[in-house]
Amino acid sequence: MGKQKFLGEFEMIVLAALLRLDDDAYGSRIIDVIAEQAERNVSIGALYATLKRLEQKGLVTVRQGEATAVRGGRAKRYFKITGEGQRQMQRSLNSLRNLLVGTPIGAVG
Amino acid sequence: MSELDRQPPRLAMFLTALAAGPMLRDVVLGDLHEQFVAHQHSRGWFWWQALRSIGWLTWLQCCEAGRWRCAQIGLTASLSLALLWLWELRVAQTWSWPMAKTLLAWSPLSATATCQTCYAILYVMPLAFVAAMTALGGRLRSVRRLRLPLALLGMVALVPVVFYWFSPGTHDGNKLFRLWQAALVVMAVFSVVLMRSPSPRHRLVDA
Repeated sequence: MGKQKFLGEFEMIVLAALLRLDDDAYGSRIIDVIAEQAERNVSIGALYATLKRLEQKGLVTVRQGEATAVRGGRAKRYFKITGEGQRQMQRSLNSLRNLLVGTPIGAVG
Repeated sequence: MSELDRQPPRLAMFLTALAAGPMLRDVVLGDLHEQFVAHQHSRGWFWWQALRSIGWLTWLQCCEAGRWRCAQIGLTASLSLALLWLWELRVAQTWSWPMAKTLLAWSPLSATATCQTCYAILYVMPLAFVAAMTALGGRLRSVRRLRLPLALLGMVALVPVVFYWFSPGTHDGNKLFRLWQAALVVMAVFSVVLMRSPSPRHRLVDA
């Protein structure tokens, strides 16, 4: 079996949030979505550490955004999931699904 | 006063900016500011977020920086935490809540402090943090080269601790601690000045 990149649980959550937000994915919005949908209270530092790791793996791209008054005049940084990122996520989800087939959780899912 | 005019605590912003470094400073502070205003969070919330993020942001900065910057960043972050603690203790002197007494009993600012171990924790922990950040910054070779300066720094830091350790019951050395705290502030400012230039390794894909 070739060497593959595997995603951690929090990396999956962040990638899912990026998919959901599409072109509007920046720090504050990502934290909001994770809090609302995944019910996880994430620190901004942990989020950026994960996004940096995903960027280094080539699963996420970054672009500079505009500054707004609500941010105290500071610029945003937008993140977008790459094609490779989506493939990785699909692969991880498939692995998880396969593992759960035949288990009580798999039956419910 | 409108929501947009609300300002987060300045010291918390300063410490976050320090930990985030030039690469992430604006982005992180912008995100925190937006959350603070949009959700009408309290100043305590901002403090909590800042303290939760300092470790992560320092780590990120270390991953991007060169070996000497790595040591400077670790030093600055640890000094920030030490200064923050001292600041909180000073605030605690004016508070009447029950924990204030406990905090003061552990404080080098207190004339009645009796716990030498607390001094050891206060001054040795930051140095341990510097060593850990240097070692974990992804540049293990640098540890060998930093061994001597770190050892020297450690010895200097241990002087007041040893002084107190071997003179139980006397607290005439409080002046020494004040001097030591002043030295910490000078070192912190020096580190901040050194950290101001952006890392050349920073890459950003513009749209």
